[in-house]
Amino acid sequence: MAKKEKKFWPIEGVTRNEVLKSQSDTRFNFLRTRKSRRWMIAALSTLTILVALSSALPTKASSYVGTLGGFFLLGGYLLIRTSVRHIADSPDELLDERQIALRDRSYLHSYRIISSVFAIALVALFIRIDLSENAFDISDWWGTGTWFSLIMLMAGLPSMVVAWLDKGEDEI
Amino acid sequence: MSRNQEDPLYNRVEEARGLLGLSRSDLASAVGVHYQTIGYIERGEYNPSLALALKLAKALKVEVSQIFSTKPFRKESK
Repeated sequence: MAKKEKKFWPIEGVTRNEVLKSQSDTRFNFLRTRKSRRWMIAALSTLTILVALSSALPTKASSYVGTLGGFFLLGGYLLIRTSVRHIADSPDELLDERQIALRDRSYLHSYRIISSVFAIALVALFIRIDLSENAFDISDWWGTGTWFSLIMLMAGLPSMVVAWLDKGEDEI
Repeated sequence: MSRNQEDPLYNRVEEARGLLGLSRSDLASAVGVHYQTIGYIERGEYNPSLALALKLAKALKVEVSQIFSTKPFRKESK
């Protein structure tokens, strides 16, 4: 028997009670429609890119975009997790077979997307090393925001993919 | 999200559930799945495992073959 408040994934921080509560939660059903989910995915993707490139902006704008964008990114991450009822962060024992299949499929897609993003980032880092003396220096835009958005992408992408693959609950 | 999109599985879960006067949530609780999963099954968008199909048949008090088929069900005349 699992402990009542067992924490399953230390980083995402989802507890047994949190998952069980969200499975029957109706308070945030407005976030669970297909339209809401698509909007959230679009907003989160835009914010991720914006925060990642915030260091390239002039200093003042950079700190505004980075800080505000970072907070919105964090908020969006929590909302999209709620929208998909924590499916992407939950262990098998708290999900049914369709949800497990959906979660596993989302991790496969996420892995492919993250691999591509990291491959691009890695190439960009090489350019930084090779061209550090040139005007085209990647360090102009590779900053804290870039690292933050990459971390948020790793944490939030599985939920975003679940939100994309799963129908809106208004359609079931 | 079907297990095998190329092999359709037809079902009469919604009909059988209606005959017993059960809601999706009632049936979901009886077989231990989320109510949304029952919706997916009824719409033929998710093909359940054999274990879940057997549980559904038991909860609906019918044989598995009465609610699931690889061929379309014939409309029963009233």
